[in-house]
Amino acid sequence: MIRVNELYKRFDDQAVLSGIELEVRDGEIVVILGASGSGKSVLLRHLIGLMKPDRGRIEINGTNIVELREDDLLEVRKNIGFLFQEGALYDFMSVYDNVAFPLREHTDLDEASIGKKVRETLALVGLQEADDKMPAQLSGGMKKRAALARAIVLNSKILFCDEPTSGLDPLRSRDISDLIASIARTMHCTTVIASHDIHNSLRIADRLGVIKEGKLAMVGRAQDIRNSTDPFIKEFFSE
Amino acid sequence: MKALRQIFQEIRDFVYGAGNAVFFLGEVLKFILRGRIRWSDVFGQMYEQGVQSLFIIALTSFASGAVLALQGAVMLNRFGAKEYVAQLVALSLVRELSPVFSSFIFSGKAGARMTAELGTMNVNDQIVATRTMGVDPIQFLIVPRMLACFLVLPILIVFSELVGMWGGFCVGVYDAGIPAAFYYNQTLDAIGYVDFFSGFIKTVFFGLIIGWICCYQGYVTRGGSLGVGKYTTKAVAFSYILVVISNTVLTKIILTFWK
Ligand SMILES: Nc1ncnc2c1ncn2[C@@H]1O[C@H](COP(=O)(O)OP(=O)(O)OP(=O)(O)O)[C@@H](O)[C@H]1O
Ligand SMILES: [Mg+2]
Repeated sequence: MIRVNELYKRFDDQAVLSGIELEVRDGEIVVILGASGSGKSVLLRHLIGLMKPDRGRIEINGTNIVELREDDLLEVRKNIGFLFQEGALYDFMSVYDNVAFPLREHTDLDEASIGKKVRETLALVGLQEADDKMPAQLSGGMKKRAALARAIVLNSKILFCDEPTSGLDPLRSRDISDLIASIARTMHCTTVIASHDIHNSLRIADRLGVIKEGKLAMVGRAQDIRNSTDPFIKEFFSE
Repeated sequence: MKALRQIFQEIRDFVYGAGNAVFFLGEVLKFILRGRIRWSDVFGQMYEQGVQSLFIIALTSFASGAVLALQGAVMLNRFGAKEYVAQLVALSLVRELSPVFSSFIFSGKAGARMTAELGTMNVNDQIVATRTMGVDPIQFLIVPRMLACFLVLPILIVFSELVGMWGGFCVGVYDAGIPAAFYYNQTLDAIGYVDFFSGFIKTVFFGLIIGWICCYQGYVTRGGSLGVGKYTTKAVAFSYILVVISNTVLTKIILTFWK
């Protein structure tokens, strides 16, 4: 369960988040939409404690992470998978070592069990062939799959994805969206996705929200949004 | 007025940056003191940084030693003291030249590479990604690099001193016609503990300075590939400046207490 209350954040003279309210139930997929620069990435970075809000609460499974110190945040983050926009794979490690990294850091598994788990996870994202490649040798879509594998390899119950489809062609966008949705459903992950891919978001999300002027303008199911009479929502989804 | 404000802002940014750099060093030391050190990464980095600079340091040192001997032979000959070439070469290298020049080369090779590597990781979100995976990037990425720098530079400098003396030896024996055994003994006689360690103490400081500055600049790199270029040059320039300044100060301190 993730609960965000009254979240405010400004950079110098620019208010980016001004009173975000959001609740994500266990196992739910929520997509945050919004124009470029509206603050989606900033919101996700707050949810995992990379940025501190000016004020507000962010509760993850009952803990207000805003008050935690960095050491405790590192503990909380072991149970959260985060998929970066560009993947953020370590470019000095092979795909295999990248996916094995969280296991080596946070579990006592021996190398054989790690290998088994890594291959399973890579198979899940359809990258079993690429395990000895370096990230620089992968296409954009493959990088995202590898990064997704790394984000879920510890079986985290929470998954945050920043623009999982940006920079991909329509087919790959659909594939990676479906992949995230199916992983989230089978592993019962509480998932928050930042995106401006309206089409795929409407397909996979349980609920969607749109950031407008630092607030979440609406959080609702796909059909609520289609039936909405709010002019901003209508215009946003008409493209 | 506008220019004044800009200068003020530059100064403020500089002070702010320096404060952050000190805080950063404190964080690194905290991990080292708590023993949270990944030794296999440290040795990997030492090997990389060492091997990278070895050839160019050898070349420069050999050439410096040779040039010192060439010039020394001419100068000392005027006073009829040609047999002191070995002393001149050995003492100059051990007390000043090897520590300072090798540190310059090291910061331009290994230091620049460290900043560029960390900076690229930074602009590609790899450093924050480390945090999101519950691992502290300072412990994982910075501590091994800084520690390696601190440990490998003194080794490189001793190597540089040996190669430099060999360069001097080659010129002294084959060009100036000093007997080999005599040159060899003169060299051994020349270098006392004081000479060796007054140079060596400096290298320990230089290793700390270069590792600290280059890692810090990489760690705070912003602004894409342009930023990586900017911060890398800045790292090398700051390393040079601080090595030169601290060398002067340290030389004065060492000479005051220990001759
Ligand atoms: N560290 C920062 N310092 C200052 N301003 C920032 C910082 N991070 C983000 N911003 C500003 O906050 C605003 C929101 O940025 P954010 O990256 O969240 O947008 P976004 O919705 O993710 O956009 P996109 O869809 O292009 O990824 C932008 O105007 C950006 O300039
Ligand atoms: Mg973004």
